Amino acid sequence: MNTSARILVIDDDPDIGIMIKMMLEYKGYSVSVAVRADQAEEMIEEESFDLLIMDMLLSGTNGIDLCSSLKKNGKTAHLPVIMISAHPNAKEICIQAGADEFISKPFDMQDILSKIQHLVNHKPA
Amino acid sequence: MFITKYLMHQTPTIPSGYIAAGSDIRDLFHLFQKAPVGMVIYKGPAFLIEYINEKTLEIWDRKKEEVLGKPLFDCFPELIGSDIEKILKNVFTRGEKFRTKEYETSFYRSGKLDTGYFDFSAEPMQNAEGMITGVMIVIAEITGQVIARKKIEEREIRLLHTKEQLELSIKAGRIGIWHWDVKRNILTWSKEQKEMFGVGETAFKGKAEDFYNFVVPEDLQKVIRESKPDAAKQDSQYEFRIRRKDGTVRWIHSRSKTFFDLKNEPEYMTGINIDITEQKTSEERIKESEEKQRHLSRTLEKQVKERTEELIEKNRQLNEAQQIAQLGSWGWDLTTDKVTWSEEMYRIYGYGDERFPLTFEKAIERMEHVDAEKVKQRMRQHVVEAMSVFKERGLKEFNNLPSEYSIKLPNGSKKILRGVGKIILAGDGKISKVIGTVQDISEHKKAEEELQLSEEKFMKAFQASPAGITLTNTVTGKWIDVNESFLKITGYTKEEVIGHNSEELELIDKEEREKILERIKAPGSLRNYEVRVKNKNGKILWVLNSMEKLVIKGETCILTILYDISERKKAEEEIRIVNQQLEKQNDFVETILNSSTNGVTVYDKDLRFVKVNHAAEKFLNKRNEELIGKKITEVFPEIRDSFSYQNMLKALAGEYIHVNNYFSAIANRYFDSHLIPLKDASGKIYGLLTSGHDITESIKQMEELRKALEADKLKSDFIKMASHELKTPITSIKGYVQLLLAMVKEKEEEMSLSPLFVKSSLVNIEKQVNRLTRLMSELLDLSKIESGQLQLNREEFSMNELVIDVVQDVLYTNPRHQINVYHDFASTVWADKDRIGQVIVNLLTNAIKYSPQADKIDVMIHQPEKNSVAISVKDFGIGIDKKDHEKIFDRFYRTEGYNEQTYPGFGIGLFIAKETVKRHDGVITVESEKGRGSTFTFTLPVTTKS
Repeated sequence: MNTSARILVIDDDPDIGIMIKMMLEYKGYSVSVAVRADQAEEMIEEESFDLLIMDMLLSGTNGIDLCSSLKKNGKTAHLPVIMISAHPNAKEICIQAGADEFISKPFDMQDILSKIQHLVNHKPA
Repeated sequence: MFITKYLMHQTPTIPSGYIAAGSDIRDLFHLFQKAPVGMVIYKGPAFLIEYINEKTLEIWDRKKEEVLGKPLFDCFPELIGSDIEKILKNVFTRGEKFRTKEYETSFYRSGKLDTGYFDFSAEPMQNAEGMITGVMIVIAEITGQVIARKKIEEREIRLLHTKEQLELSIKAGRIGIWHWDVKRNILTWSKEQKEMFGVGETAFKGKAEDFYNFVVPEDLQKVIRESKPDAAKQDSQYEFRIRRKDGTVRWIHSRSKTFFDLKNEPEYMTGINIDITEQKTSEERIKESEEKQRHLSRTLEKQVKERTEELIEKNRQLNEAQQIAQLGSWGWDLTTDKVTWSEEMYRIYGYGDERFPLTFEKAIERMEHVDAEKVKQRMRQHVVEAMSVFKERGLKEFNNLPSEYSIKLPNGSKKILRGVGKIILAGDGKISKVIGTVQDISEHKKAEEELQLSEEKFMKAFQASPAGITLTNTVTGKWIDVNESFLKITGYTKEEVIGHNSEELELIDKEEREKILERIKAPGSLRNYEVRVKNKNGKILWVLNSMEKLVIKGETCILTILYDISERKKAEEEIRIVNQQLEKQNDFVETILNSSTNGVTVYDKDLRFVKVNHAAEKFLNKRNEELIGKKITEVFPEIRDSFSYQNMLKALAGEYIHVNNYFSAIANRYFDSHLIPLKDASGKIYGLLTSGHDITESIKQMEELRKALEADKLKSDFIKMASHELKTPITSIKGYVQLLLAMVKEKEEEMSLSPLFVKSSLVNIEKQVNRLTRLMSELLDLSKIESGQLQLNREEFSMNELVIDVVQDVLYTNPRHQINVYHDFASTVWADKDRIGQVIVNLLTNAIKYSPQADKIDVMIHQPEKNSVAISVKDFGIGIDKKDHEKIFDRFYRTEGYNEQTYPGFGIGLFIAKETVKRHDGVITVESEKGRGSTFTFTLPVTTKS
């Protein structure tokens, strides 16, 4: 387990962001939280992250668009993305947008942790 | 002035003895001027009017300027050549005096030719040398007197005559005198009058009406008219008939006179009646006999004509006529073969003045060759016949029958001659000579030919006519003659028809026959009468019949002309049937049109209504009568500017237009309409057909469907949104719980669970649970409101206290914001505490939610009006655009936030708040502008406690 992986959580509901942060920090990840897509983009620019967890529905640029643009961008295309959504049928759209994994809300802690581990491990260090 | 001139230039030589010495000559002239008789002096042979006095001017009716110094005959040209001229000239030339009384002369006076009577004298005027210089006239007009006198004379004579007549008539007892008091209507008759009218002394009553009773009806009107007293005619004279009691009719001549009173009203009439019956009857008899004479002569004429016609027909009469006429005569001596001709013969044969000895051969020289031969043969024949007759009967003479032959004259003209011969036998039985006469019958022949021709023509027409023509005897009804066409039509032969009548052949139905005979009786003719006829084969034909009564050779016949119109009748019948069918079809089409729910309208090319079915009438809300014949723009002027009118014009230009969703303002309905131009066989557009299918209902339904779908969409959107919202806090809760569980599990292995962390997690969990609870209850409320099950649990509580409690709760979970409460008014209310609390919570959470930058929120409790309390929640956040002020209280409405951040919540909070406040008889309002915060205020009625 690569405990120094840096994860960015993007969700417009700050409560969710904090909760996920608590959860991941307990597991030893380094977590930052953004509530808006533009905010997230800035942070990605400034810091290097190993994983992005984003809600599909964001205000402003939504998760789908953000994911697509990141995946298209050469600099960020390598970043693994996990998309979260309360909409059960959103999986297709998220995968199409380039998301590497999809999780529906409310999610299981083990589930998300294993997915994160999987993606982080596969990333070249 | 002439007179003065005279005075100045000439000293008058006045004969003495007539003027007193010392008198003024001017007085003389004054006398002259004013004399009561006319005086004129003419000077010279031209009769210049030298002196003229006023009376003369009066008589002449001229002005002195017109006549003075002019010749008389210039002023009265009508007198030129008259006796007056002669007289004057006589006086002037011979110096003879002339005097006359009552001289009648005519001249132009007062613009017309007037006749007058004058006493006048004309005397010559002499000069000193005794030369006649002029004529002096003294003239007095006595016209009036003369006329008056003559009138009196006339009247006297007339009176005398009348008197004589009267006396005579009365003597003869044939004059009745009557007197009628007009005003009192009393009629008095003389004895003779009563006798005349055949009434006895006592039998006559004495009113005008009693007189009228005698007058025969035909003359009554005239009598009444004439016997009316009339101011315009005082005398009247008239004739009339009366019927006496004994029945005899008498002619009466009546004369009367009306007398008028001072007021010019008729007072009485008096008159005489003379019985002129004898005169009248003899007058009448004369007239009658004259008429008879005329009739007689006419009849004679007619008979003569007929006779003459008969004469022409018969050859024997021609012979006799020939004998009266100029005949050429000839003689032929058989022994010497010499022929002698009369003068006439030479003339007939066209030899003019040529005279020469003739032989038989020469005599027949000019005959047409064929005829010459014939004549020769015939002569020989006759000779032979004569001989045998002589032998048999010992006759000395033998007449041969007349023969006709033609001759050709050298000038090329032909003549037709008729010759008669007589063979005279000598005593020894030998033919001695033949004598004969010849007459030129060329004209006659021509006439005969022409007559023949016209007869032939008639016969041809009769026979050839396509119409059947018949001649029937009126009495027996039998056919005298019929033509071919008639036989063809009826199918009979001539033999079967002639001599029989239509009854025998059953040609016409008996009743029809009677009808026809009736109709022809009076006018004597019948025109174009259609009748059915049965032909030989029993077939019934329709025939057009015209008949005319004729008289031929004294017999009355009926000429009938008939045409077989069976074909025509058949055609007529067919047309009638076709028309019937067309009618039926028309009715059928009408029925279809009118039962259709489509509004069908037909216009002509000027957009005049031609046909409007029932449905269209309804849509246009007009009856047929109000539309047909009128232009659409006359009935609906507003249509001119509309799109539909443009379409109609386009269609009339030939475009087929289909509008599938067109709103008619006139009908106030939606239509699927077609506009079809109507073309005739040549392709020319003569009208327009519009058909409109009313789709208003389906449009409405579609609208409702759309709304329902929208609502549905909204609902499903809400459900989606709601489930999303619910999942979010649950996610948090689950996350924390799992985390804590994991930590607890680990604690059993390692000591890493931090109490601080546990606390904060649990706090978070609680927060989320609350959030969830709130969401849930909102949902529940919504469903309650929807199903009308919202119940209020009212209690009396202090508004102020509630506000404080709620604010505290909110602050607990939202410590960042500052909430100020202003108690401007203290009140208690009778309401559902929980729900009102909910409303306040909702407003506060909204205020917090929608002002992320600002921290301050003001809550004010105030009294807007008596008996109510208002709670206002004011924030300084993003505000609400005016256009959304209404919408925000709708269900499911969520504002898009600043930068399009969507705010958590169902969007039903305000809706529930509104419903709650409404249920409490309060009102909720918003004051806000985009970007400048919002103030939400709701009111509630207060209880009496203040």
